[in-house]
Parts: sequence; C-alpha cells; structure tokens
Amino acid sequence: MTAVLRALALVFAAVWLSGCATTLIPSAYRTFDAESASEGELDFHGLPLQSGQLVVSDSGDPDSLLMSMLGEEYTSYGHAGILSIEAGKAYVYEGYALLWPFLGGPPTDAMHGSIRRVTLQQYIGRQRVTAIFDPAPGVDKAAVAAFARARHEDGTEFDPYFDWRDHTRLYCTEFAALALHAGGRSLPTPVRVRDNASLRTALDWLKVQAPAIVTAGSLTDGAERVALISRRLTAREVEAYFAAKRELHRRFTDDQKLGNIWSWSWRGLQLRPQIEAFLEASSLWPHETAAELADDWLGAFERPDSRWGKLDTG
Amino acid sequence: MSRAILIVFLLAMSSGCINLPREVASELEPVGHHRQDHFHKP
Repeated sequence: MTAVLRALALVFAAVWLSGCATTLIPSAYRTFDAESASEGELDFHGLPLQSGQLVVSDSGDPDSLLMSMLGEEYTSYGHAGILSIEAGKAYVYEGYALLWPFLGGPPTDAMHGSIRRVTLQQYIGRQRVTAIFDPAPGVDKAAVAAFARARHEDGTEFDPYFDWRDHTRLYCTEFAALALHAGGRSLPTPVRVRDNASLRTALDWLKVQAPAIVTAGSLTDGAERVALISRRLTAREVEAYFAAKRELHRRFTDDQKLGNIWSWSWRGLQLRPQIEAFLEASSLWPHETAAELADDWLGAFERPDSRWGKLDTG
Repeated sequence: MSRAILIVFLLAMSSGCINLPREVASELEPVGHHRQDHFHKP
C-alpha cells in the first residue's frame, strides 16, 4: 500500500511539475512586481511584457547554486531564456535537458534536450526567483525572439558540456546570449571557470572542459529589470538571499572543497544543512549583514582542532 | 497522463543510477576533522 501511495504521490508531483495543474495567482506570490512604467505588448497579470525580453531565474536548487559558484565572477541567476508573445500568450524559450536512464559514465552523457518552449507560467512555477529584463536600448527585440523561435523549430540540441566555443549545441545562457546578439547586442565575455581543484575534479568527470562560461549575470549588464517574481520571498528578501549567495561565492576560494557546501545522496546533489540554514536565514536580515550572518551560521560548527576558521571580518 | 508516467519512470530510473567515482565522492565529503563543514578565511 505504501508503494502505491508513493507512486500516486510521484504521479501527482510529475503532473504538477509538468505544468498541467497550475494556475498562476499573483496574490499567492510575495513578489509579483512590475518595475517599469512603460507599456508592454502584453499585460501579464500587471507585468508589461514584450517579445525578446530576457528572462533569468534562480531555482533555489543545489545545482542552481553550483551554477552561481562556477565562475570567477558571482552571478545571482543560474538560468536564462527568451520571452515571446504568441497569440496573446507569454512563452519562454529555453535550453533544457532531461536526464535519461543510464548505467554508467557521467550524467552529462545521459542528458538530452533542446531549445524548448514553455509558458511563462510554467517557467515561473519552477523557480524561486524570476526576473525579466528589457535588453539595452538599440537591441532589436523582434530579432531576438525570432532567433529563439528559429532555434526551437530547427531542433537545436542542448549542450550538457557547457562549451561556448561550439554553437552547434547550446546551453541555456549561451542560447540567450546568441539570441540577444541576433538583435544587435554584443556577445558577452565568458566568465572564467574557477581554478578550484575540487571543482575541477567534478568537472573533469562531467567532461566539462570549457575554460569559461556565459553567466546569466553577464547578460543583464546594461539591461533594465522590468519585473521581479518570487512566490516565497519579498523583494527585500530576494536582495538578502542573493547577498548570502554572493557571500558563499566569496568564501568558496580556490582551496575549498565542494563538500563544504554540497553532499551527495540517493536524491543527488544536496546542500549541507548549515548552508541551507544560512540561505534560509539570510532572508530574515538586511542584505548588508550577509558576511556577519555567515560567520554565525557557518562558523557555529567550528572546533578548536579544526584548521578551518571563521571569517576574519576585522 | 502518459507524459507524467514517463517523467516518473525517468525519475525512478535515473535517481539510483549515478554512482560517483571515488575521487568525485571524496570531494563531496566535508573537510577537516570530525567530518565537519567549515569555511576558512578567504
């Protein structure tokens, strides 16, 4: 009976995740803010949306935090897509892959996906924080959206190895960067992957050899944020949460181990309990206190014989 | 519903299949004595 109930719960979860059973109710979100006075092509529950706008997000998952920590420069958002208004409905085009069953080798070899189209509602439902940006003035948004639709229609594959040098397959931010470039934005300078030995061990296993990656943060430079959305966090809490992530990035220096932040279980990559607690607690405090808060939360497990000490804030 | 079943199948199949190589598993262990997690001074 337990197995049946568990299977039913999984089916329900899968239906919910696939977007079949969701209804977006803005009042259920703690942040659903329009941040631009300009009118959009579509009024999406009060948000002024236009085709060709950039959508970036943070899912709050452990692997999303990994994306924020991967580059030498911090980025708040780990995922990106391109907005397109079609027949009065808002869609997001994004690079996305599923992990298929496999018996050996790294999971990147078993990831298969493409540039897909989902409704903005479905996209938002998967994320802890979503932000929508108007590209810099001068960018042809119609051309941006046209590029996105074309890559969806021609079946461009997802690139699980995050290789910016090869555009035949695209990862999410690479796809968004090229779409913006099609509209006239200059290509971003990829951010160098951190020279961290622990990270390199994992990336070698995953066959990710790219020396640099395009981050979502590099795509928002010069762009204007027009909307911020979060179900759980207020706008102030989003700021504090991102400050906490930035503090983690600052502390994850080249001699740190992945195991200080993540662990591995049958559920896959997990956050260490104190990291999760730190990120949860961060939203309770002003964003300026992230460093102090990190000392309190991450130093609480310190022992005198440990060679790992608290941050010297003096 | 068939899509949902497919997703469940994929989740079930993939979740138990990832065996980390020893060197990667080692990097996902915490550092220091007593297997505790610490950040040091950057």
